[in-house]
Amino acid sequence: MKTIEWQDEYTVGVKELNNQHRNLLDIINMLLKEQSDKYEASKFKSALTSLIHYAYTHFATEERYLLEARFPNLNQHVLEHIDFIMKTLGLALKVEVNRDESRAELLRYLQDWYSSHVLVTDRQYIPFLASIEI
Amino acid sequence: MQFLEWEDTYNIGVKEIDIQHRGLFDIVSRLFTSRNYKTEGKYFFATLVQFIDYTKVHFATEERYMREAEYPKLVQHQQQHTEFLIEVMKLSRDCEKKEPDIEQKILNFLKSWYMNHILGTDRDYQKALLDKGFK
Repeated sequence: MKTIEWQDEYTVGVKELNNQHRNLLDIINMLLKEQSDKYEASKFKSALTSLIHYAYTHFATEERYLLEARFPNLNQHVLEHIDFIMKTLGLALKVEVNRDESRAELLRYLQDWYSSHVLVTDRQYIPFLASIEI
Repeated sequence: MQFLEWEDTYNIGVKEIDIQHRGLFDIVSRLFTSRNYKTEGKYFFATLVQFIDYTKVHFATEERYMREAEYPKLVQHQQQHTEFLIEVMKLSRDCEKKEPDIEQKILNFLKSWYMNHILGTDRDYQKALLDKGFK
């Protein structure tokens, strides 16, 4: 499946968050590539586990910044993070049961999520982060 | 009740272990903050399961380093890991059964474990690992 290429305009102005967004993208791209190349179930599974664990780290970091910046939509934003975890875990379980079909569904979800959450929703907080000292 | 604030002094100086300790810290933090938001209990339980998975990976990593460094208290340390896993899995079963006040009980347990084990007991092997040249 088509990978997503990092662009400089994706930055949100805070180095730590940019690095984490890039790392998340790297893991997602690794999964997307697995699909097209020779597929190895164990490799796929371990990359997916890394993605979920890394998402916890990233969300915890991001939410700390948003709390400090008094971002008004924090509540909604956190709920989107939680929703991501629940959906990804749910799809990961489906992949175990019904490989090919669910794998494509999971990958489409990750692609859409990165494009709609990281590259769109996250941009809402940029002006608020500008007000805190980093 | 709040979880802890991250401090760089929590690092022990071996990168792989430090990353995992931070990862565990972040998952536990999210268990704490999830209670500030109206989330379904399902999320708390799912996160706990992820925490347990991550912990298993972490213990295996840590034990590998301790073995390579010929850390003399390896066996006692492993014993603590096993006891922790047994307890936390028992708590997760209670969580799945939605026992009353179980979430609070789990948070108390994890916070005191993080403070006593990761920020306490783990400091004991630090010297052995660093002396061996791990970083």
